[in-house]
Amino acid sequence: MPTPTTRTRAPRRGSPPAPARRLLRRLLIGVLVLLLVSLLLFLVTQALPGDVARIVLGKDATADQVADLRQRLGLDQPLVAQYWNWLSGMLTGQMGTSLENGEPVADVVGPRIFNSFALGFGSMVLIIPIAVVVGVATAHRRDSALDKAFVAVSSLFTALPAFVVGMLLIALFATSVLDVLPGVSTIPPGDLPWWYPAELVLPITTLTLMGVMYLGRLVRASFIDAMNSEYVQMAVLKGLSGRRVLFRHALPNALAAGLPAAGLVAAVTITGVVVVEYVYSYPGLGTAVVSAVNSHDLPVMQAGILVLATAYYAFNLLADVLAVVGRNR
Amino acid sequence: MTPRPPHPTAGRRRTGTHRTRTHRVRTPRALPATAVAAVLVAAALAGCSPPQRSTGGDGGTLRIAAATDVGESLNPYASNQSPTQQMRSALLYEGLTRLSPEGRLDWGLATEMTPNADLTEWTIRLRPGVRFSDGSDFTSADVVASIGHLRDPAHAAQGLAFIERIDPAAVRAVDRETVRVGLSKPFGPFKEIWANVLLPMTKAGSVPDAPVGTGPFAVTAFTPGRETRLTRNDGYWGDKPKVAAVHITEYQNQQAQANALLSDQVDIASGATPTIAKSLADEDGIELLDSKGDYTLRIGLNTTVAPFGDVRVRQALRLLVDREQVVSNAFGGYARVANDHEAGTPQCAAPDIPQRAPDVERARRLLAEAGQSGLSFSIATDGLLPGMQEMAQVFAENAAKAGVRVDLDVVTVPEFLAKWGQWPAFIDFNPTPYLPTVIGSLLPGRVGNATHWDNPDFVALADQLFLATGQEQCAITNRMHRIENEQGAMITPAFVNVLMPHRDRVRGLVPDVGGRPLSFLTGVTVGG
Repeated sequence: MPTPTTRTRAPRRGSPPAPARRLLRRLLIGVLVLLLVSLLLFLVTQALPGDVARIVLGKDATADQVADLRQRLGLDQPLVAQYWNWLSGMLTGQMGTSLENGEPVADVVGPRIFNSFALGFGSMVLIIPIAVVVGVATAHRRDSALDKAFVAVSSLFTALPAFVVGMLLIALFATSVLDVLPGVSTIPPGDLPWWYPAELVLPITTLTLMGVMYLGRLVRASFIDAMNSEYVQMAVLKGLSGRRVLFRHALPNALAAGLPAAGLVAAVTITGVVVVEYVYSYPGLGTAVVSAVNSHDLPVMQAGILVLATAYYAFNLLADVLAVVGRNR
Repeated sequence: MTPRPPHPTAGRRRTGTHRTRTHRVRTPRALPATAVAAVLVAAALAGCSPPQRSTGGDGGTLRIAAATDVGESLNPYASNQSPTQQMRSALLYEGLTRLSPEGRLDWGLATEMTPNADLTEWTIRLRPGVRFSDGSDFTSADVVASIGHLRDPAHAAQGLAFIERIDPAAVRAVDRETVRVGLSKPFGPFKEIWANVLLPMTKAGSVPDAPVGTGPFAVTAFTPGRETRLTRNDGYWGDKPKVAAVHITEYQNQQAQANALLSDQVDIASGATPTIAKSLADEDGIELLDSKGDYTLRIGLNTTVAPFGDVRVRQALRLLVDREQVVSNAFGGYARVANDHEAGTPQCAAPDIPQRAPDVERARRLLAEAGQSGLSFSIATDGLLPGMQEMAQVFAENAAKAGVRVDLDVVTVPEFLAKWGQWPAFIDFNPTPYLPTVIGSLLPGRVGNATHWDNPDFVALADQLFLATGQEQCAITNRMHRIENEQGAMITPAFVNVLMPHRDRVRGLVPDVGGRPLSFLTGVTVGG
């Protein structure tokens, strides 16, 4: 019988290549992390003050009605049983019903995920190319007025919370200075977000500004590194044209270093989406979670936060994968 | 036919230099391709035509911004109703009687109510020719079914407390337009009770899942916590609404309502803090509807928790409040000074009680007599309404002058409700007229009475009030106000105005003494 050592030294042919193994390991760890997140989430939401059944039924319900609802919701069972019921439900797609209005959690959360995705995707589509262009342009003209202005402005934006940027944009473009864009981004239920492009402009701009200021700086730094590297110096010494050095030699390597950061920016954008949705009253997952927290709607709260945590983890994983791909290249 | 892609292993045979070059060439090409694809997808998506959205100035649709309530339903009898749900209910459903914006009691779906000699049985004549919004006739069977639903404790109806004296077994239809209601105890102000928004009439069998009402509007679309679309009920028996539709959009905070109004996405912001209202009123194209009513925000003191069971402590705390400061600082001047009792009815003369003014020395003496000179306590609030926290902060400053330390404990709405009746001191609000206030929150044993105040003289007067009809009620309520003022458990520093900023193209809005101006939309128009 082969020992584990022999197994790891087995010929590469037939076994998954090293990056694939690493990815598999990361995925398994990820599942464990998400399980831990689900446990933490469950415990934290259970620890919130107030009796859920009383909150649902209100002041006017009798003690018997409250006890009856507690039993129907399974709140009288031990915590372990409650956690297992909840987790197995989540894994099998039976996410339960909203305590607030009795609708299936999937019906509450599903369209919201879609709306948030539209916002996040729209922003990422803009963030990546703009950050690359801005990062390369400022790095190429390092220490110029443009470069200094970008570094100053991006430092300011990195320090500002998303809701402040959101409110400034509302004041600038919707309410106080110019009146050219909607100040709130309500999308009627059942409608698709891109049917209302005007409503999307300010939330996407907020997220894009925040993302570009962060990613642009990273691209700028990695581009400066690439331009200072030996192979670029060599290309210059060989007499290659500036354009050729820039686009064929420095840029691809700078991008390879910047790509993992794009994955991280996507993950950070998820948290930004929650704040931006609240500022603009955009009907996404973030506002659903805020409402659920305010009204103690545990099933919606738990499902929403778990979706956000999973997406956050997925983008972190993507960042790791891109880092590996970048290194290999 | 597309060319076959190279085999994945093909590159491995190449030299390192070649491999690097291959990637360098491919990456810049992939970027523009992705960008072009993204632009094409975006263009395709943008090309999908959205449904026509109502815009300001189309003359037919009134757009209202309201506070989010994810737990709302169309059931007008549900427990735990928010102001948003009640605002919508007032447009969809009607009671047997109703209050005018001036606070006058008018007939609604009933035209006559006649008691027997000992006030234990009332005969209700219904308005003929009334139809529900689905076109069916409104009859006595619907009244019997509505009262039956409300009176069943299993439904935990929020309005149940107001009709507890109705004997559910003694409610019967005499004919199509007459209902006889038997009571378990005599009750005089029967007519007043039915004007409550929590006690409307609905079509028999339609609640709780698909309630149908007789109101000036009917529902066309409803998503809890998001949006309600109403259309004019063309078969309405009264003055028909001038607008064809009402769209209610819900927002999570009042600033969002203000932003929606400023960027012309709604015509009315139904909730505004005094600060927001003031700033909006200065904008071009926006006006402020200021309903000076009897709406109270008050500090409740739990009489079952020491030292608030001692009336000297309660009176001392009331003497510490600088009411003018509360009006100016907490409510931006949009309020008027109150005198530690609820408002009466507009038709009755105000009670002859001297206005309480700040008197720190007397307060100190009372606290010393009660052995509470170094009193310290927290006031719990969920901060649900504008001015709640500010009022408590002004009170804390006032109280400090007499060495009383007051902290503010801001909790979530669920936590506040979960400990309802247990908080030693709390902030509450009351939007209802005096009679339902007495029944719902000033008598002992009521869910709404979170101070657990139990005053035998007040209870005796309430019993007299329940046997009184007409003008004799005024004399009794004024005596009740005096007891509230001298011994009550609520610090009531101000009657608060309800502020509603709106676009100036909206005409016909009327201020409501009950603080619910959106209940009266039939005369409203939205100009171009």
